[in-house]
Amino acid sequence: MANFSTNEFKSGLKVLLEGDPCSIVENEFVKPGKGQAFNRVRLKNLKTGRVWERTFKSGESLEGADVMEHEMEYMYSDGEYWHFMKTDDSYEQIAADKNAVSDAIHWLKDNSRCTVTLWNDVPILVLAPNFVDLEITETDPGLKGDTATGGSKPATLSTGAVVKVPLFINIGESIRVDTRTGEYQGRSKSA
Amino acid sequence: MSWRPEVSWSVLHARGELLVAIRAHLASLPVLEISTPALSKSAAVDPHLQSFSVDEGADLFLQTSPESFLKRVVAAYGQSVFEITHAFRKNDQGQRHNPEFILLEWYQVGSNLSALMDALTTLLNSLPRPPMVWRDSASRGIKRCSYTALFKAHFGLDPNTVSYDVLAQLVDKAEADVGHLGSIYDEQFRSDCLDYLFLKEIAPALPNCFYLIEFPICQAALAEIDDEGGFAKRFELYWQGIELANGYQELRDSEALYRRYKAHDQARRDRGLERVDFDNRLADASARLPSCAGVALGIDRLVMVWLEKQCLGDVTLFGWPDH
Repeated sequence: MANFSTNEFKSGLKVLLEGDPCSIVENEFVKPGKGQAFNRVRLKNLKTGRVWERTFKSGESLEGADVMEHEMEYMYSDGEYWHFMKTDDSYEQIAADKNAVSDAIHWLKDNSRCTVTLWNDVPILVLAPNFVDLEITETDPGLKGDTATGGSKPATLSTGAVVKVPLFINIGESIRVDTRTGEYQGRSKSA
Repeated sequence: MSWRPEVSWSVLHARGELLVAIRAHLASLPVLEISTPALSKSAAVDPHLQSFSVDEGADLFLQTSPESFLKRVVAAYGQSVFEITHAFRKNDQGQRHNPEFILLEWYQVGSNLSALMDALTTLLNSLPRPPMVWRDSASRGIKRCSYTALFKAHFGLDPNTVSYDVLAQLVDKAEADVGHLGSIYDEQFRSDCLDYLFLKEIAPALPNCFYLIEFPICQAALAEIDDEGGFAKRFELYWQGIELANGYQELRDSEALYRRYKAHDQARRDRGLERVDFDNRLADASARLPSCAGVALGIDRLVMVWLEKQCLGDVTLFGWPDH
């Protein structure tokens, strides 16, 4: 991969830092008086999702990272790997391990379209769709007519995830969840 | 690219108003406005300043500041003068840097540095429609913070004498694996390490608006040195993390000027940077300067903070470099 100098840094550029692939979030040029110029850079570690703040001497360079994002369809899990298929008619399949799937594990159901980040063709991160519709498998019985008091109760979804739902929701119903916050959004529209 | 200018009329109007107010205030002092060339045979010698070379054959450079010309005027006439002009610094580009920008450069004869800071504060307080944050933090006087004292308090070390090895270790400790500040151990290296440590470790805890004073000797540039105090008589005005102005008790010793040139020249040579000739006329003028203090104020940045904008692009008619 090519090297990128600080004056080529821009948000979205993928680089290697401490051996991990990172995406540049923000790049600020700072120069005190007649002094040394620096670039204050915020980078998102694509493996952990954590954001790093680093100050580089202007003119330093970082190695580029071969990172690609693909839209892929979730197929199944064999317990050790989670299998995805590309949606570009290539039918190419890849297997992601538990580290890559991480939090998305709570939201994966068959055929959901995920964003899979590949680094040197190996999956390092799986992002579930922002919204998923999932069935409730377990919750306390619903309270009829209680639609306004704003109370909530825990409900277990078909994927095993537990979310807070309003009191009137029942087992067997399908609800929409925001996967970024894990919050109930409403009953599924298609259900 | 659109043919249209990139800022609204109201921004232009506010900018125009600020320039009128600056000129009106300086005229009342009085200081005379003059104009000097933007192109000159001399280039900046500071290793971190790069001049645009305009004509290889004639060796002309766009000025990184009008300092040299203005000092020749002050030395010749013994009068206070100012200029509002374009300045050019190659490769300085970012949200708060444009390679071409506008400076107010102002020399006050008979003034010391402290009086010039007061005069600058008075000038800024005379400007119309100050933003709320200025009214709250600066209108009743601006705090002064000593660079050397802050450094001593934070690291327990004297920035003038701490060894290069210790500085290198401090930089490493502040942030691992982000490259290093070079392997040439000289006073330029000291200055670079101090810049880094100040930016990273000290600046975040400083007030909203302050004068940074009493600079380390290696950052004296063209300022006098206080030998007893062990600092350079230089100040910078910071506002919300942005450097707005840079002032010196002007150096009047041509031999000291030459020694500093030699050090910069050696630093440039050691780093493979382009060499720059000694500015003999600046040296001759410096030897004849009356006691004076001078300050450069970044006009574009002033407009930016005065209008509470985040970057120069928000107040620049035609944005670099696509204009």
